[in-house]
Amino acid sequence: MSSTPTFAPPATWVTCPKCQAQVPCYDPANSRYFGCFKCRTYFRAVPEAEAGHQVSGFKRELPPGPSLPLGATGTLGGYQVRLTGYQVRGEKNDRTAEWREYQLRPVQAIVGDDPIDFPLQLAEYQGHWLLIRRATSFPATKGNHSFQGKEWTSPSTGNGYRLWHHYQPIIRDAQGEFDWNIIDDEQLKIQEFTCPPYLLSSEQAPKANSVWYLSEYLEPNQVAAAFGLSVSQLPSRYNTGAAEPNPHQTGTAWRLFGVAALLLSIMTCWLAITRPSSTITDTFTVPAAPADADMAATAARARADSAAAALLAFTGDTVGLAAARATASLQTPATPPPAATPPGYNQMLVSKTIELTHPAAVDITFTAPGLTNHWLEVTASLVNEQTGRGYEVTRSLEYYEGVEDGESWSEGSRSADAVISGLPPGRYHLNLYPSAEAGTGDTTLELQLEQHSGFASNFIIILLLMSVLPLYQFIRRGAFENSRWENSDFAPTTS
Amino acid sequence: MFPLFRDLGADLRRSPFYAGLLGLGLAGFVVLGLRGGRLLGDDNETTEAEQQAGPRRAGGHGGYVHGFNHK
Repeated sequence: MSSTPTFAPPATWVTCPKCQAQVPCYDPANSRYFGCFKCRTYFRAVPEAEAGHQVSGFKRELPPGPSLPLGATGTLGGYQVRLTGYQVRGEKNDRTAEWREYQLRPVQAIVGDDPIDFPLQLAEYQGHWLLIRRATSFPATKGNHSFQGKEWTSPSTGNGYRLWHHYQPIIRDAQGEFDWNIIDDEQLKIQEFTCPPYLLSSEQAPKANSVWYLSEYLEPNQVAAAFGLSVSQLPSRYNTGAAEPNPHQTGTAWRLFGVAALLLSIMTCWLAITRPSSTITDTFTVPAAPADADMAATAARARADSAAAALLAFTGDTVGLAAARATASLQTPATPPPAATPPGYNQMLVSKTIELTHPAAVDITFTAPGLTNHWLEVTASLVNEQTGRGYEVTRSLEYYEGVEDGESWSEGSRSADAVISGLPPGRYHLNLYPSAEAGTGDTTLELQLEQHSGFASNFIIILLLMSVLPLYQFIRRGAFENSRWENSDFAPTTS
Repeated sequence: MFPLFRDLGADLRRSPFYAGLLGLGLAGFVVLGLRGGRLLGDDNETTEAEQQAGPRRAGGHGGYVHGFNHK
């Protein structure tokens, strides 16, 4: 890239009526208004025919001045153009907003009328560049009514434009030559609609029809390359441009995510079909266990007394109490053989066998439907009958309910579940070691063992992990759009 | 569904790194499914050594559920 702009000598010169400075004129056929680079006088003249007379004047040159040198030529918008005029514009109602506009004229004289794109201009605001040309597609309005909508979709391109800004401009500085009186532009009412990288704007003079222009966002390096400059010679970009394209594109990531989610769903179905789940259920009665031996004896004695009393009531024998107690003791339902019961447990219960035909997980569900105002703890060991390997889980079930101040309450749960995953194929059973709260009655414990291959949790977790990147890009894209609309009074409503 | 696949080739070329991550995720899901594995929430309390030697007994509301080796 060259860093030297191309210049050519002007076609003629016009003389400033105030300071007599010679102002270059590249387009004498069309240029009628001039800004003196020396004394800031704005004057009208017809080159080589009519002497200049002052129209207006500006107090001083506004920094930073033109970053593109007037007279330089380059190729923009498909045309070989020359920078002929420079002006600094602002808004009547916002003294802080200030941007620069460059008039572009064809380098080679055009026979007949200007092409439809002209007048062609460059605008720079906060380091963001727009190439402005006449719009060919714009909203239709009746007569000299302005467009009242806040959105418009171009039927030719499908681009949806949203109202970005409206204002009335003021001219703060001008240099070079212009083919219209730029001071007249202070009467214009301007509306801007954004659809990055485009900005559609209407300019409406009083009692006149709107004139529409279409701006296209240019990267600074495009502008620099067009005029043979280096990017460092142009103003640095800051904030977000009204028509700056959002660099955070999410379409690709979302489409790939969609394909992956579809494949994930198909694989889930395939696993469910090829590896169906199987379930076994079992029901046990867990006797309440006293906390120590004395309490156990007391409980056994109480059960025997109760049975004996019932027997006596039936026989009417009040003398043979001891004998009846002994008899009742014998008639008390026997607890399971204590041989397999380890110290500290009431008893060991053994479930039915479940056969895993392939590597799988087992979902164990404990339910004690009659559990009320006490707890039951179950330590369970899933044993592989071929290898003897054990997999242990412990679950506590507790459920309490009552009435307090006229309101019923409950807490806890009568069921609990556990999952043991990554089990090799084989026959398994569950050894249960239940412990119930002392002083409560027998508790029914229902057990369900379910063989699993796929888990909804696996599906959800992997789906969430897969969505991290598109979500991240989505958030960054949203943040970029928010920063864009911070500069507008017409930001889309967010909930 | 069709738009997902219409630009698939271009999307894969545009985001090869993300496409690779998605492939890994899919492969991981299948391997987990084939092995009966679960990413989160396995409740097995037995360590590998204990699986060989028999389960540890612990826990219980007074801590009295202990000391048993079922083998």
